[in-house]
Amino acid sequence: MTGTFHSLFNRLPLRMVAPVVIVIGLVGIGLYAFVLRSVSEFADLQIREALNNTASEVYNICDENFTELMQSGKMDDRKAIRIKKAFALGAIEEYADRNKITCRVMDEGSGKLLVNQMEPELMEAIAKTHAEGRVTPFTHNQTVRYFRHFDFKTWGWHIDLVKEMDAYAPLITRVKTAYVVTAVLLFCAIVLILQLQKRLLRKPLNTIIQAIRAGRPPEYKGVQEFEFLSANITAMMQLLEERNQNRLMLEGRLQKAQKMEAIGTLAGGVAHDLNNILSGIVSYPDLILMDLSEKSPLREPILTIKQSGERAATIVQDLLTLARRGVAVSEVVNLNTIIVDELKSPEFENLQTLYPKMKIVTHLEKDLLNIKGSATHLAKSLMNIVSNAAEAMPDGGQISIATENRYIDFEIRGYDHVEEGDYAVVTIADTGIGIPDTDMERIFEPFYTKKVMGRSGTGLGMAVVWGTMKDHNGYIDLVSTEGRGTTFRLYFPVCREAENTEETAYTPDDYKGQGQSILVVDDVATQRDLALTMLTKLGYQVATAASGEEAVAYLEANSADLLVLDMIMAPGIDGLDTYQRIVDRHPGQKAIIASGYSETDRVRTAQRLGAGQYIKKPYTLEKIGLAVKAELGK
Amino acid sequence: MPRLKTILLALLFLIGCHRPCAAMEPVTIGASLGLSGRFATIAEALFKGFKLWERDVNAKNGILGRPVEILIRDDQSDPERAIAIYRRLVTEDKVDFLFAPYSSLITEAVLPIAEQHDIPILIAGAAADRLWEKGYRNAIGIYTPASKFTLGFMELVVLHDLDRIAIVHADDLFSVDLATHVQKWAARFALRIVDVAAFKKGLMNLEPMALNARKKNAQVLVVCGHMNEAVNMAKALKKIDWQPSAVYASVGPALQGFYDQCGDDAESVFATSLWEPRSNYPGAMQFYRAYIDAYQESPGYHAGLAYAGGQVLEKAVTEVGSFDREKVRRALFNLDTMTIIGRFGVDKTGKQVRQHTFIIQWQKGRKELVWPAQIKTAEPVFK
Repeated sequence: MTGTFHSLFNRLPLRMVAPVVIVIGLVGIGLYAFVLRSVSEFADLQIREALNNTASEVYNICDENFTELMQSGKMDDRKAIRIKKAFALGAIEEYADRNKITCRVMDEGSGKLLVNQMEPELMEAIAKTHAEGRVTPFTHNQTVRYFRHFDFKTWGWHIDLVKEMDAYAPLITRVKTAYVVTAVLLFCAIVLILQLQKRLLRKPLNTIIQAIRAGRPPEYKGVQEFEFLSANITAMMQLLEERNQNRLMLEGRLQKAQKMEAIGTLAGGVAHDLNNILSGIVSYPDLILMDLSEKSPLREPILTIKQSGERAATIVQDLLTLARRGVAVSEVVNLNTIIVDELKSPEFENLQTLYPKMKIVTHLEKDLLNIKGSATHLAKSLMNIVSNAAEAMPDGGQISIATENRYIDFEIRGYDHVEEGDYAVVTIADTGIGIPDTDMERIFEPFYTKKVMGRSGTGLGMAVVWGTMKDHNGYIDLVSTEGRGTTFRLYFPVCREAENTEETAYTPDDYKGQGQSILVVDDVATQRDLALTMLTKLGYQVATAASGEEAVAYLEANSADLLVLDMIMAPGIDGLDTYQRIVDRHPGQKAIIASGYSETDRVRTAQRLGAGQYIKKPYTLEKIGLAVKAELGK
Repeated sequence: MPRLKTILLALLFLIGCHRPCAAMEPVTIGASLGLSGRFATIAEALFKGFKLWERDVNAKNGILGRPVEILIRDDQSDPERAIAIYRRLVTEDKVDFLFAPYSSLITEAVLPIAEQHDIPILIAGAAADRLWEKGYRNAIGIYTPASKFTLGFMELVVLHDLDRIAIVHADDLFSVDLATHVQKWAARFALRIVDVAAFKKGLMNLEPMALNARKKNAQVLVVCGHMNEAVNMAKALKKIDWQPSAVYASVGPALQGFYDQCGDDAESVFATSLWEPRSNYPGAMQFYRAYIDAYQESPGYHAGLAYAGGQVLEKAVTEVGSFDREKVRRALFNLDTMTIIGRFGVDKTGKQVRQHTFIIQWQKGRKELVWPAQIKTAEPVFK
């Protein structure tokens, strides 16, 4: 009930009309109380006063006649008295007629009515209110009348006067009429207000509200203020719609990113374990080969083992790229160089062999700006796209590879969302079978492939491309039409630094040690052993610790020129905490960091504390040798 | 026929008179009178009174410099004809003001026309009180209404110890009104009414009513009617050979024509006169002489009433300095002035309240003024 009342009262028409009705009601009551009642009271007073005056006049008529009689000396003349009384009665009656008063004169002695203008009913009515010397109102025949009685005792006359209120009736009627007219006008005003409210307020509002409820823009035309409101609501709705679409898009992208991240995390975990396993397969062949003669029949199988390990490591690297934990994007590279090198690579030659009808066309911008990135991963990504393009053209076709510098001055909302900025753009377009719309959203997911698994690729090709692009803070735009081909456009943020083109070839002598002491800290025994073997081989004095706590304890009693510190160790403290404790006791303690995971914030924190290079597992003899020698040489 | 001759003579006299203000557009006053028919005698007296005033006022440069023209048409004593005449006067002649016709009956018929067009109408030939009880705002009474006609006569009846009164009245408005007020005054004077008998207006033989009054041992016979009723009752009384102590006839005996028609039968008959030359009101004697000069006869009070009507209008217009009807109407209601018939002043209904009546009695062929006592020319005679 309260809710219904609350709801009713909160309706706009009622809330707008209620004050008007209240004001009008108060005006009406005020009019009645202060005007009509005042007029009635005024009329009442005036009639009382008039009747008193009339009584006085009538008394004077009697008095004048009596005085004349006295002055004529005929007080004992019965005829003269009779005549004077008659004159007086005539004058009284005439006076009463002239003043619209009903009069009755009774001779007290005989009880005879000398003048009687009253009906019997009226006489009965005044008998009830008979009072001497004062005006008494009473109602007779639904008319308010005033009664006044007095005596002219000299002649024994009992005089009654009755006056109707009709003397002021026109005034009261007029005021009442004015009151009614005012009430009618006020009522008309309410109706007019309601009509105007309906036309100028409720109707526009309903139009707008109904449109909003139906989820469409109001597009109201009419009252200026509501037009303004409608236009703003329309604009807001459009904005909200856009934002909603953006939100959905972002949510989709976020889901995709989370999915990629989850898969990456999974892949990263697998890769970490595989790395540890592969470390032996990749690293031991080098050690074995160092001890084998050139003519050893074992050399070839060991090299095969090494290459297989390296290929497996490549897959692991793909997985790590996917996990976005393996790409260092600090190298200044030029995409033209990478493309040209890649087109000369054995992999590309193999591809051409597989697809002889494939035609490659390049349009490389001469002054293409450099980018910061990983040449290896970029090359890999480009090769993955080209491979897919070739596979999409089994009957031959053209693959065009183009590069260009491009400034994006407004956001591109394509397959990906390209922010404003300077970009080096690589466009790879084929004339192949195209990608169906249903597959467009999922082609960058790991292992989402239409190809037969194991026949070509790892199922991670496009996922690697996606991961690489994200590692390089780049964007992918993809346009594909079934039966007409696919165009990949890769946007890389440019850098203004020069490309480092020097390449140095090292021999084992370049990174041999000179007996310096090294403490290898790793929670995985095989990794410790591998590092011990490799560094010992390079001429270092190597000790090992299976945990961070053990390393700290070791250095309490010993010293080491360099620590080779694994970053992820469990259980116990990790690489960063270990290094932190060691540095606290041995400021300036040199260290390099080795990890199966990509460079993380904890790695960088350790580097800020004084740690040197970060090398990624699995590492080769050369890689760890150069890193150790460089750090010891500082 | 002799009456028509007199009228034509009068017209010729008035046309021939000097009209110094003829250059300006005249102010016109319209009226109808029963110059023929049952009211012809009294209507003729009114006609002469109006025309004499017209002559006199034009001789004085009219009203506010404009000549006065009174358009009088014969209504043949017929209310319907009077109505048509007044309609024509208002709509076609477009008169400025109106005088009422003779008799309360015809005046009552034409008053609505004056009211409809909001034209002040001065009533110099009707006295029924009811004319002023209808709420008209333009009806101005020139003389005392019927309610006070018998006041003086009643006083005389009391003074001479008479008591039993029989009333005989015609059924016209004035006569009925008068009879009602006779009864009222009788009650005030503590006189007894022994008989009230009504008859149809125009009835010639009033013997049955006279016989009935005699049968009731009436001492006083009051006849309420006009000239004809007064004459017919005088003849009836002679015929039944009854002489009450006092006979009063309201209208008729005040005129010479009554005596002319009744001769000795007029003896002792009382009547009300509304004007007497001997009242010594300002201008009364001049009017008396001028009337005789103009018409070679003595004026009755009806002629005086008509003349006074003109005087009242002249004074009202002069007072406001305008012929604007509304202004003149307001002036008439507030006017307090003297005319040849006495003081003029009306109440808020337009009824005359300041003019006084006289009681005359035919005694030995002479019309004697017997009331009020202060100016009486003879003692009243009762049989």
